[in-house]
Amino acid sequence: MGRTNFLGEFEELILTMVLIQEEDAYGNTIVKAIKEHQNREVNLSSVHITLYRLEEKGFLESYMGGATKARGGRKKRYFKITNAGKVLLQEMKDARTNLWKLAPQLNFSS
Amino acid sequence: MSTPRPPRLFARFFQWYCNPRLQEAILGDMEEQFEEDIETHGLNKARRRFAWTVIRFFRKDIIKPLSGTQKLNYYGMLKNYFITSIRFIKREKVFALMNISGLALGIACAIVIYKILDHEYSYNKHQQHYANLYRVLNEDITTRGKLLYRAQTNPLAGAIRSDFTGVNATMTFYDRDGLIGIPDGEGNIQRFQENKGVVFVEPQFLEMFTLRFLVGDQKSALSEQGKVILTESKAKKYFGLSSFNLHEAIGREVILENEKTLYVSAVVEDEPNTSDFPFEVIFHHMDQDAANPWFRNGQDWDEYNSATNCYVLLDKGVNPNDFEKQLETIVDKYLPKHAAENRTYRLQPFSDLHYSGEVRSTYAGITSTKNELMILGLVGLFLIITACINFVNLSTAQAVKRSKEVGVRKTMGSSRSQLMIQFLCETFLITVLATICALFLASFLVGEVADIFKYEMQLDIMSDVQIIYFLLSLILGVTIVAGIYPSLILARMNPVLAIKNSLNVKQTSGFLSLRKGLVVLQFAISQILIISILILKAQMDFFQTKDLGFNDESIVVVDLPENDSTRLSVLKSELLSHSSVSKVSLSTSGPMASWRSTNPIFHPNIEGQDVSGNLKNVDEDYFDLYEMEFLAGEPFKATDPQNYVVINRQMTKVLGFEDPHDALGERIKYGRGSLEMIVVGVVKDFHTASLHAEIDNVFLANYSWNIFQANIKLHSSENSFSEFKHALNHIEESWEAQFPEHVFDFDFYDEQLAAMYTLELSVAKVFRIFVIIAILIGALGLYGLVSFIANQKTKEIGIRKVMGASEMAIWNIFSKEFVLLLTIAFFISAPVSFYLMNAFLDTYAYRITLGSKFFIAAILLSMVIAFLTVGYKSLRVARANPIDALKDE
Repeated sequence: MGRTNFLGEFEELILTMVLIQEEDAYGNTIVKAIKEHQNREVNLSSVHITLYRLEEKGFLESYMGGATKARGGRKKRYFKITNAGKVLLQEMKDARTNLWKLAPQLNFSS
Repeated sequence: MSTPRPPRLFARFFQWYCNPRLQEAILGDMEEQFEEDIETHGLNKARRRFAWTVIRFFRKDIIKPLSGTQKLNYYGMLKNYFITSIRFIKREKVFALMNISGLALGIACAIVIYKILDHEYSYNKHQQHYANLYRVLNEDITTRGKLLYRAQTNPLAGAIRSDFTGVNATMTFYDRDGLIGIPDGEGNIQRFQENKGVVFVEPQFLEMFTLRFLVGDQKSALSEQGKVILTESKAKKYFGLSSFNLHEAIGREVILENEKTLYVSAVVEDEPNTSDFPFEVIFHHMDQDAANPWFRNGQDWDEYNSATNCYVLLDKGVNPNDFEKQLETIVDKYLPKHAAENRTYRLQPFSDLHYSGEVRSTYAGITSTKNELMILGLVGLFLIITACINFVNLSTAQAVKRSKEVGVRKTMGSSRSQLMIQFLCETFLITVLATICALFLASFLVGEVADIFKYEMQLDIMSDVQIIYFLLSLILGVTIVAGIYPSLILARMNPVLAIKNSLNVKQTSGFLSLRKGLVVLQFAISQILIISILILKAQMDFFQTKDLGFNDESIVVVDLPENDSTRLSVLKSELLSHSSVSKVSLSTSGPMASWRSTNPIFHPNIEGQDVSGNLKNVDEDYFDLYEMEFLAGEPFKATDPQNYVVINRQMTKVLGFEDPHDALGERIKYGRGSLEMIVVGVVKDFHTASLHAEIDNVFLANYSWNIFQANIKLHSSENSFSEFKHALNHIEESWEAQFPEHVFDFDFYDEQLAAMYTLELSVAKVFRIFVIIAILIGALGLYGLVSFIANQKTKEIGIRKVMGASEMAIWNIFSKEFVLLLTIAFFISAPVSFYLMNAFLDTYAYRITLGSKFFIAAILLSMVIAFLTVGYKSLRVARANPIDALKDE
């Protein structure tokens, strides 16, 4: 099961974005959030594909909802982070913090 | 319905491929993004982004999985098609081999031609401002019509910069014999004679042209005089550096023409070989007085030099046509009156620079016209078409053999389209195999062509994405063009007849005539190519053997870097002292030269006409050395006044003297200065430039200036190699004794003349490769057709043999038909090639006439080829045991 517990950089980013956005996480909002927080242009397709992959791995779950007049009257697929996802994110953060503790003190002033 | 919708085509494409489970949400997201994009970026950008996103979504996770029949049929059937194809190829080895080799030859040629075109079309594309760069040309109205040329005056760029906004301009001067000295720090100087790459530019050049700086930067590299930029390879050559310590070149001394010491300020990457600006040693514009005696601080509006060119870079919004008109103000404001009257400045866009027919020359010296490239492309297309025709011929010839298979498939319920797909698959497989073979052949041919044309070019399908696209589309195109007709024929067969194996001539005769038409076309194409190459070859021979009006044998020419008359006379007597040297003459140039000095001439007989003369200053031994024939008068003597001149017959004709003797004693004014010359002799016309050009009006005068070349005639009879080597050593030593600060180099004069036709010889060599391949393909095609007829007539021949026909009689049945086809083809190819080659030869001032011998040779050659191919197959048929042919009945 080693593979499912490993997240790529982009996957981790998307997962974190879903966590941040709470109730309003779907394709477009995530693209926008990445642009806003990271100043990085990503294509909608990469976001969607990653979302489905994360869903398959069990870190996200999705439900349909929120049909509006805009967007051709189509429903949105909202994503929510699962407990497994939260645990994984926490683990990754802790692991990184532990690694940082092992690093020698950075000194930028020299 | 006023709100804009996303592009329908892409939306539907998405709906078609997308997994239905995901479709709603994704499409919604895309539409939402589209609506927002309209607000922020406008409709066009939004549409583009929508389309792009749809394409990006085309991925494994999103595409709907195959279901139902989609999953079942195709894969299995396709697999079966390929298996039967492979079996068929294994069974019919000869057929497959012919098909594959024919296609491979055609495809290999297409690849080579693609590479050549790709190379030619990538010229200067590395320039960042490619689209907005222009060369300023002069268009003068003369009595002989409009004259367009690139030679410029030095102050032009500065005037453009100061008088206009929104435009940058630079002068460039290309020095074809720069002498570069590199001091080694211990008092010695290592000298390099650079006949290419030395250039003088204004600092603006660096803003306009794209150079990649490895060391140093664009701003300071030429900020003032005394700085020089080197390319990486020159820096390595001069200072013995490697890629890792290039920075050590900075600040090193470079001595120009033994006169000026300059310092290296930057090192740039080498120019790509697809550049018309092969600059390697780049000096500041104002330093060129050391290399260009006519520079005079760059202020002279009357001094034109074809090596001095002007380039402008227009800002994005500036319309080149408007700017061209505005340049009229420069003409009025700066140009002297005699030049301004007839002058218009023209802008030549960079996209034309390499391909312009009007002003072909660039610094790199290599250009090609769009016409030439189009002809090359057409040859490639022809070869591919003939290869496809072959395939069609061979495959339909085999169709009869496959009739049983088709019959069985049809009875088992195969539809026509399925059969077609099957045969297209087969064609595809054969094309792929052919392409693989073609790649091997092509990589060899590309190397040959690169050698001939001096390209740096190789076939590298691993790193060249474009060639992969090209190959894929070629495979697809060939599959369709070559495969569609045979597959139609096969799919159309009547299954009952097919199984009974009684497909008679009637059912196949329809395509037989088409096949004959194709063979005629194929013959015609190869005959055109044969005729063209024969004529090209004859013209090349003509170049080498034409009587030039002088003798160019056993003559060594050596450049003279300085015009010091005492040194020159010492050198001359020094050279003559060697036993192998028979004659020596010092002159401006040889009789035939690519460089010349021309000026207008004035004489009462040509009052008001625009006539110019080519002045060569020579000493009294010149005429004897080159064995020129005097029609009147005699050569001047060394003691004669300097303005005694010998002219050529052409000049006397222009002056209206029927008898050359009448010209003796005439006075002719040369140039706008005060030179007046007295005619003392008239020589028979000799060629003054390559045979592309007419013979000039020539003045051979006794002046002591413009002496650039020593012509040294060796005793030709006793020319053993060691003696020759000894003589050459002597020449080198005497030369170096007089010019210790220069680099010695020599040429054989006849080789120098031959080099004027390098381009033609290269083209002929490459063309020959294609002609041979065309003939091979044609022969294969013919063989295919004969095989087909042989299959058709198996029984007829069997019966004839039983009735007592001889082998010769059988052979006749086949040959008669092909003689007819060949003759028809000849009536197409002869006029076409006559017209084409006549137009081609008209580009030379001295050309061969198109005699019937070329055409007779071509038809004889194609007859021989046809008889060999037809003969082989038909003899085999004729010799076969008639029982084998008849036993089926």
